[in-house]
Amino acid sequence: MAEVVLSGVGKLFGEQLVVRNVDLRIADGEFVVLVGPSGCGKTTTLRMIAGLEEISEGELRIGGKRMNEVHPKDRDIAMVFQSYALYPHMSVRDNISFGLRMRGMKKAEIESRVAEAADILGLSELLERKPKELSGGQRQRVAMGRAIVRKPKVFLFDEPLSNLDAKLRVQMRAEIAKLHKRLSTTIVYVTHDQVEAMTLAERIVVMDRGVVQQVGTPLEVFTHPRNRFVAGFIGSPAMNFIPCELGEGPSLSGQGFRLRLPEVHRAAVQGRAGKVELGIRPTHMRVASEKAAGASDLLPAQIEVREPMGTETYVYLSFAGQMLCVREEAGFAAPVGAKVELELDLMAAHLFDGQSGEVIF
Amino acid sequence: MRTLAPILLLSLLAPPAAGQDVAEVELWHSYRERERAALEKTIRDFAAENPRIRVKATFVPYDAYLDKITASIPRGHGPDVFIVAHDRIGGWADAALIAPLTAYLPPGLLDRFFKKTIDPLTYRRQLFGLPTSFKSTALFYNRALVPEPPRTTAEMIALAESFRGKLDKNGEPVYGLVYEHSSTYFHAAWLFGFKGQLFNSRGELTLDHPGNAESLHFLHKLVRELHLVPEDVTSIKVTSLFNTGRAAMVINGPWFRGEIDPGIDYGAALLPEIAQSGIRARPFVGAEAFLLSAKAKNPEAAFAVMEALTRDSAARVRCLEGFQPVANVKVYDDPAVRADPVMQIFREELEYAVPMSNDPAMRMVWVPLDHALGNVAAGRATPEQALAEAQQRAGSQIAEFRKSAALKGGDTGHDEFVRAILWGLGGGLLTLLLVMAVLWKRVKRGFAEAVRQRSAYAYIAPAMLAMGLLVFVPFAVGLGLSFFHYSQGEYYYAGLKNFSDILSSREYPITDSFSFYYKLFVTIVWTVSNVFLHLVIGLGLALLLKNPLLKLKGLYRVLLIIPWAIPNYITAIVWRGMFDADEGVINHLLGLQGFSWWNSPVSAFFANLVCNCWLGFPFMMVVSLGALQSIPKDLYEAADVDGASRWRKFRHITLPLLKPALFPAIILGVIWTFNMFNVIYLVSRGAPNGSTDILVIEAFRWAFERGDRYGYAAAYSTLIFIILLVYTLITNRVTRATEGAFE
Repeated sequence: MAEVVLSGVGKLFGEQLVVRNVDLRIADGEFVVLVGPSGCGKTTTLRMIAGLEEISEGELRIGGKRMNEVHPKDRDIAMVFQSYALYPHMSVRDNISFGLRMRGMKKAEIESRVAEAADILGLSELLERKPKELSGGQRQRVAMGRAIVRKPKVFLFDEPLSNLDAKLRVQMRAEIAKLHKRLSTTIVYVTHDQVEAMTLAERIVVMDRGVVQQVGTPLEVFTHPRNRFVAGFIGSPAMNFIPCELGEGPSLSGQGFRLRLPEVHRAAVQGRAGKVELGIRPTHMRVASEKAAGASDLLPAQIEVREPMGTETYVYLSFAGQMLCVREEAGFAAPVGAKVELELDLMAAHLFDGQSGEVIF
Repeated sequence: MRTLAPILLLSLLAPPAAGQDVAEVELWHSYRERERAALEKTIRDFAAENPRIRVKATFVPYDAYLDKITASIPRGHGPDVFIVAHDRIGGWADAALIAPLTAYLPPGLLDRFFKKTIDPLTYRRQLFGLPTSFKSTALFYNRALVPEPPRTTAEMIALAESFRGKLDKNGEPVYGLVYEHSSTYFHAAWLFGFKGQLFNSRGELTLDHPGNAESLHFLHKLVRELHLVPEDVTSIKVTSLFNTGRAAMVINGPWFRGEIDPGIDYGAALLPEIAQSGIRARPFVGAEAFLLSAKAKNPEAAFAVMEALTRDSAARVRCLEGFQPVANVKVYDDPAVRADPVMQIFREELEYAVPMSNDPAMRMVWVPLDHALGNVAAGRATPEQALAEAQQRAGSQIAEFRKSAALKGGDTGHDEFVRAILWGLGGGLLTLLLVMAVLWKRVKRGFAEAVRQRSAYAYIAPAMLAMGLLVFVPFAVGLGLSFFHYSQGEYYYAGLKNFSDILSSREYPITDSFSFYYKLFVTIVWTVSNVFLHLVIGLGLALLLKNPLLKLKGLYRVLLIIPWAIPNYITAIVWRGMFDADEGVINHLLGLQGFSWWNSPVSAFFANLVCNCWLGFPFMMVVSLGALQSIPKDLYEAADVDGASRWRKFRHITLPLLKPALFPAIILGVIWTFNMFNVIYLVSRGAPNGSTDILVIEAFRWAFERGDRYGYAAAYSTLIFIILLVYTLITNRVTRATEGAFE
């Protein structure tokens, strides 16, 4: 077990800097998820930690030791690949024990470790099978088994669940979480799925275009996104963004509306003016009741789509040429095409600089 | 009949009366260039004078010539008249392929020929041909290097020694004497000059005659002791050395004149007198002659053509325009012919020459005696040992031959050949039925399937038909043949005797290089070492080419496939040249000039191996490369993380995952190599003494070099087939177990 520290790590592919200046301190036993859209550099960062990509700049330390020039096999890490990378010609047992055999471990020790891992992952019945005789979920478990028998300092997961169907993904997610609790080894986990990130991570690292956008607990990045990108990426359905003008009052005005900012945000916008974007999650908006209709802090919109989810209903509305998503009660019944007004909980809203995307509050 | 003949002849030669038929005579020859032009001119002259006989001349390339004649005449669609060297006459006369001419001969006709050209055409006291020309060897010399040709062997040796260490203007060595010293044909001059003999007066083989041994000592002296003659000599090398001014003297036949570079001022002389025996060297003389097919449609007309084309006037044309030493005495008195000193030398050489025997037994002497010469020249054996071995080899083959000739006279005929084919086809059919009976359920299902898939089977029918005709029928014929014994044009049922002779190694001890087991051993060593090296080199290069850091990959890939793209016999001939003892680039690079690769089985095998590796690795490389590229990269990354070293990644990931692709390639490679005829036949040529030959070449040699033992050869082929069949069945089973790792 060990701490993983990246300082100023960057990666050049040819001329192009695909990862830049990553500073990250992953505590011993911590479960960190790197998340971001494809091409954001998260997998490259993980592979640099694994030693499968050379580190172009900066320094990587694992357990206090500089690792930049150390071969993958000597970093004491284990990795689960997106494709699982199971050795097709070997049985499950041989796949799991391969790393141990390569390290010249004693036979008895290998046996007991394989048995233990198989027991944890429910693979005991499958040890003599070949990978091609396994289902997707079983293969995934073998890939994990191969990692855990090694008892490494750090586990690296590269989008391990992306090849599974939705149901299996949820199940495996829970198992990975359980596994981490049980082993309490440092885990670095890469995914593009923010739900996975939110549910698994102790800390999330949001990346975009090779740059770390924000690091924090799932709740932190959800409730206090540092910029428009993080705000938009984390949370499902995604946050709504409404371009507007910060003006006197202070107030926000846009096409057909004018909103007064609540007291608490006044300090944050002190001395600012001009283009901004209002970010508000679907949960912080609702269709105004007829009583409230006509009040001044409302947004006029038209219902376009209703998505009843059972416990709730997502309502998509058109407003000033864009779509907004609002979470409503399960019984929400206003017809498609109805003209309604939206009530916003500005206390929970965010404001982003129109130019830089940096959060204002 | 005898008295009638001239009258018949005259009536044929007279101008045709109205309404009379024109007789057609088909004439085959294998003459090329000048000789061909001269012959065709004489035929045109004949046609102008004889409108009632139309001569249809057909050129047949020499390689296929004799076999074509043997095969076509018995079936009645061969030539009426054909020109060949006399040495096949005995066999063909025995096989009744050719007709004796005695009945047609007008008195005095033979007076126009040298007697020495008539003798070889006589077999069992009957004349079988009218000679066109005779061919013996003589001494050619480069006038720029040799002002006066030697008259004795002592002079010849002294003259040759004077070139020792001499270099031409390019720094290449100049040789005093160059000739194909390990060929019986060329050595015959010394052999008879030392009063040796091949057969005694009773027709018994006498290769161990003391005169023969003396001539081999002389050979040993020329090549081994004094190093006057280069070790590796081929006819091409003789020509190229002479034409580049690097051979002072060569021994060669009249055909050599056509090959000499016009820039070389050359002369010809009689072969020298042998100091020890006091007589001149006596080269073999062979006569070329018109023979008359036993199946000629109009023998009188055919003979009329033969007679007319061997008249002095026609012979003069062939002599002057075709450079042929013609068999007609008077032609040499012609002023134009007198003006050609080389022609006069050959005419004079005829006085000393020894006619080559036309006994069929002679055909079994060439190869064993060639081997004996090679062994002595290479210092592998003393002349006495070498000759004793040759006597034993040729002796046993002749004995076999005579034994089978004694079969003749029974109630056999060409029906036997048909029987052989029927046997093969019947056997094949029976096997097929047997297999079908055993697997009846599957067969039934197969038929039902076939009916359902009618159109699919209709599409592949042409290919199946072609396969059947090109593969199954010849295979069945070969199989049938292996139960027969061939002798002089006829086949005799032999049961399993060919197989039992081969498998019990009846004629040779097991350790002899002629035994089946010796050949099998060589073949297996050959196959295993080749396939192993092809695989190692091919896989190694594929691994290099796969390296992502390598630049110009495409270029290397193309370059490395080139050896595969060039026809392998061309490659083989080039390698043969590169391994040449004196001129070859390999010896130049290794500083081994004069070292003959063909003198020891190990070095000759090695040379074959090098050539075949060159030919074989690209296939393995291409297969490996394809398979390597299909191995996912992340398996290697997983192994990196798992802590596998480079070697272990290769051992535990690359190799096992290549197996499904490499296995079929190895199976194919083994079969190809097992039957790799071209390389061995062209590179080492079996040297020394057939010890580097493999089974498939042995089958060829039994059929075509050791007395037409077609049945024996077919049995060899059948055994090869069985070995490969068993091998394939076993490996198929093994492969099935390994296939489909990625599924």
